[in-house]
Amino acid sequence: MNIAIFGEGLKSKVAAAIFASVGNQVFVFNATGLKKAFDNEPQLEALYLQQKKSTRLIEFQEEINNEIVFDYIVVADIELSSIFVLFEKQISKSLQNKGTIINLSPTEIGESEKIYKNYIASLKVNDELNEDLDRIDTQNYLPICCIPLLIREGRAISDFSRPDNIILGCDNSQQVEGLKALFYPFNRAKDVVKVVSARDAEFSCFAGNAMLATRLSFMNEMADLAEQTGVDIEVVRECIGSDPRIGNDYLYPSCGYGGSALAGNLAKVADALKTRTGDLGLLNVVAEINEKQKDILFRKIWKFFATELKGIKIAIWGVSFKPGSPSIVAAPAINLIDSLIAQGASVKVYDPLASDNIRALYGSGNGIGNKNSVEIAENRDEALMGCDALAICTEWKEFWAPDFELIKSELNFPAIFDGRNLYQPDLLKKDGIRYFGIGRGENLIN
Amino acid sequence: MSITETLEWKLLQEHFDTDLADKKIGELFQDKHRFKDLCFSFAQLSIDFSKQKLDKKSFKLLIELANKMNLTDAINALVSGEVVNTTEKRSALHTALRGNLFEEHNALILDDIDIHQSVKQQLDNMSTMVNKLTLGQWRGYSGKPITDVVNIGVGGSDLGPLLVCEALDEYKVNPKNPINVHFASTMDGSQVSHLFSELNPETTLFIIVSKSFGTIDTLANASSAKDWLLGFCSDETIVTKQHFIGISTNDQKMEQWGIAKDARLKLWDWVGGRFSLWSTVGLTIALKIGMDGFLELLKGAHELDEHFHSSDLESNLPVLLGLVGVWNSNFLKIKAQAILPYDARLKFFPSYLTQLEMESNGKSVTLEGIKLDYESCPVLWGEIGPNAQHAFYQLLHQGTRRVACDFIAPIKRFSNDFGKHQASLHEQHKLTLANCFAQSRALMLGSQTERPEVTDKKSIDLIDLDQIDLDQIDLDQIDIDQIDLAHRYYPGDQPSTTILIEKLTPNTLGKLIALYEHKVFVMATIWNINPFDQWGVELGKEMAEDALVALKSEKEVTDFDASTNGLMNLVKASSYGSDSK
Repeated sequence: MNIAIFGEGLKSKVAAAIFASVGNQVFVFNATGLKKAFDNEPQLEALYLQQKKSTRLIEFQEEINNEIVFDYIVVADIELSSIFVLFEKQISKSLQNKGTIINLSPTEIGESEKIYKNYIASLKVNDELNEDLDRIDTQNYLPICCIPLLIREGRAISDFSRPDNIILGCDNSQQVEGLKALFYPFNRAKDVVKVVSARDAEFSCFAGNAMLATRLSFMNEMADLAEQTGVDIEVVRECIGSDPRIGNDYLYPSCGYGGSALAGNLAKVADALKTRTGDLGLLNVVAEINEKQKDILFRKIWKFFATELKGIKIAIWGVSFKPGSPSIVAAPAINLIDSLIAQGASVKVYDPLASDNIRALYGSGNGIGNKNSVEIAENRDEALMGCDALAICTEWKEFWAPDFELIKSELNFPAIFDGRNLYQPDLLKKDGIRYFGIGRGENLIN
Repeated sequence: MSITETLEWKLLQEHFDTDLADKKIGELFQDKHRFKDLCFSFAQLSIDFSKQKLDKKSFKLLIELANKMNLTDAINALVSGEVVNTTEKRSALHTALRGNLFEEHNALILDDIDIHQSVKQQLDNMSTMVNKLTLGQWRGYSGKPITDVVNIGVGGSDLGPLLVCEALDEYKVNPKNPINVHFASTMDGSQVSHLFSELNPETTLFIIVSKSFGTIDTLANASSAKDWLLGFCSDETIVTKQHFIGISTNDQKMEQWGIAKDARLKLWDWVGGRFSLWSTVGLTIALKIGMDGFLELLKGAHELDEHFHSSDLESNLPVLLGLVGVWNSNFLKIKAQAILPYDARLKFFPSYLTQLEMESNGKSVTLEGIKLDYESCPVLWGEIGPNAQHAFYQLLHQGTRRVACDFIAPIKRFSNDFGKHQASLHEQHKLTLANCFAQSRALMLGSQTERPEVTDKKSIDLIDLDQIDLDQIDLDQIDIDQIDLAHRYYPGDQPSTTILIEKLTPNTLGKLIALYEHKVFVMATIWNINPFDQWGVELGKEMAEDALVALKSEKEVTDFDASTNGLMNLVKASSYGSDSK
């Protein structure tokens, strides 16, 4: 099979490497850099390079002008609609030859259908005389399928090649057999394929995201209560997580989730559900709690310094919305930085991957503080130099076991505001560092 | 020499007596050009004076009177910063609050200060505050962003922003952190106490607006607000720093109260409270409709200022509106003026004008201190027109009082409402306009018949009807129909002005308010009175101080007049009186 892969993230990389490794001819588009996708996946990187060497995997930087027709076009980590703009020729040619688009990262319910209809409409505008187009019936023929695979960082290969389930969202019965065949190498021990409509698959993907976001916001609310009642939320998390009905995943309280996928998916459907201002929608509340949660480290710092933040300098470890990503879209750290500099404080930030993005955002000032308010450090420990206190926004591995002695000696007020609950409050207390976690550590009253 | 002794005044009186006194307004429409001649426009405003009891000649003579009173010079003196408020030795430069923002003017220097620069500086400070609040970066004591702002002020520090915030609700902006604005003015605390029960102390900020920062009503409310907050956060420094903005001329008093330096906005002596919504007093307006919306309001007012300053008196809307006011007061001897907006968005406009006109022109001595021998400001009140139709229009149509009315309506409405209900709302607007035009017409024309004659004899019979055995009465002798007609008779001949606004926007509202501000000045100039002081409000304030001492003391009150003594002792005798000590 000729398979084109669009996207530049972990999902697209693992799909490319594994589809190639089982014998398909894979063409990877827009493969500009992003080595970072492999940061926590050394084995995947090896596999990918091996496939590239064998030429079963070929990379392209931009649209190509040759006659390759793809049987499958796999889209992951980018918006489905964008490939119709960027790779219009390839897409058209392949669709005309009964190619199938597989969307691994749906962002909206009804996305497949909507995008295909838009595509057809655009063809009609461009090519009014093409009578064939008028005969395309989007009701019964939808060449865009949705297969929302769960790929987790650190176990991408096994997640892809031995999945717990394969939800095959496909409206076109003629394509089901082909897709089953495509995934057959990963579906051998027992049949885990479940065939549903594209819309069903998109909905399931969204509902899954919404459930996860709900668990996170729920735990954040519990953390707030824990602070007020003097309970350590980590203990509570372990207790309820051991209940098989609940389970341990996605129970970590934090300074909020960021990124565009989870929040964006949630917002889209929450908006759809909310027709009037007064409607009580769980998902709106989930999203709102998360937005407020992004403000929580600021509020702790605000109280710690008794509202006087002018001239204060805060070290911030981690700016990207999650470890392993350079993206700072909707990251809680951005909220913290903006709030601090609005009060006349300054920040010194360190992030293993996000420096360029931070520079792009704050390089010329952001309209609130002055442009010198955000300093970017080269490494974790340098970020501490000359700062008053430390805040942690992203749980990068290198922050888990820092040099506490250094923290204590460098900070003017040895205090850690930990948005990811990385440390043990008792140990830090012994070290003479004040510790403010989410639902644990010291609590500051007004 | 009193104005009444001038030739111009006498000519006006003679003109009224000979040409108009015996005519009804409706009869004046025999002149086919009347509407064209008496309806004037500027920008998006049109004013129809043709339902007033006057004609072209009246306007000509009124303008001669205005010239006699040097109105043009007076306007120049006003806008150039001369001391027009003679009793307080101050300028009245509300026009400078909205001048020079949109085009370059020569520097306006007052007491060595460049007014334009100073105004610009305060607008910048205000803009910074608006920005900080609407970005969610103005934090309450607990670090949460402020979401609710309460304007604590009274009179001009309340009515102006309240009017504009209500009127321009549909222009509210939707920033990252939208701010809800509230108003509290009443000394009795009922408004603030209601807000205390509704709002979250963590996210509520109070703006204390007082020109002197000594207004007892405002400071009493502010003090309760502070105590309310202290109940949740005991650190007074943090509470005052994060939860209060002060707007005043008196920086020192703001500091004493605890207002943080960067939470103070400056007012100037040369802005009267009732002319102050254009200054930083408009902070709540800017929070609601954004700085751009606020500037558009100023721009509209400024455009009207330019019109007032540069147009000939003959086509100058505020001048004509003011002269008609003088005409009605002094020649038609009308003692009451009703303000009737046919647009519920303007529901506070009558209250606003109540202060603007009556506090400005409710005077009885000339600039020279000589007692007036003519009437000045009429009693002014009003209500949303369609609602007033079900309230006091009865008096307008059939009462014994002559009342001059201002009808105000927008031409276009509901252009931003879409969907099925838009057509229905447009129909409602047409219905409203139809009522507006019908009422002014009905007031003018009345029954258009002779008043039905009912003889005294029959009237007496009617009064005694209850006591009389109906069977004994020869009903034929009583002209029931005639009595009925008498009750249904409309005398008509009530004069009115109709102001049409193309569409209510920040710009046109700015123009409408400025129109009335200048109207008030025009009337004051003709009457030779000072519209910029308000000594009449002082005596009661002074007496209240003694009354408060007496009310708080344990002793029986004997020092006042018998009525006041008696009332205070009644309060003391009740348990509530002793509880509230």
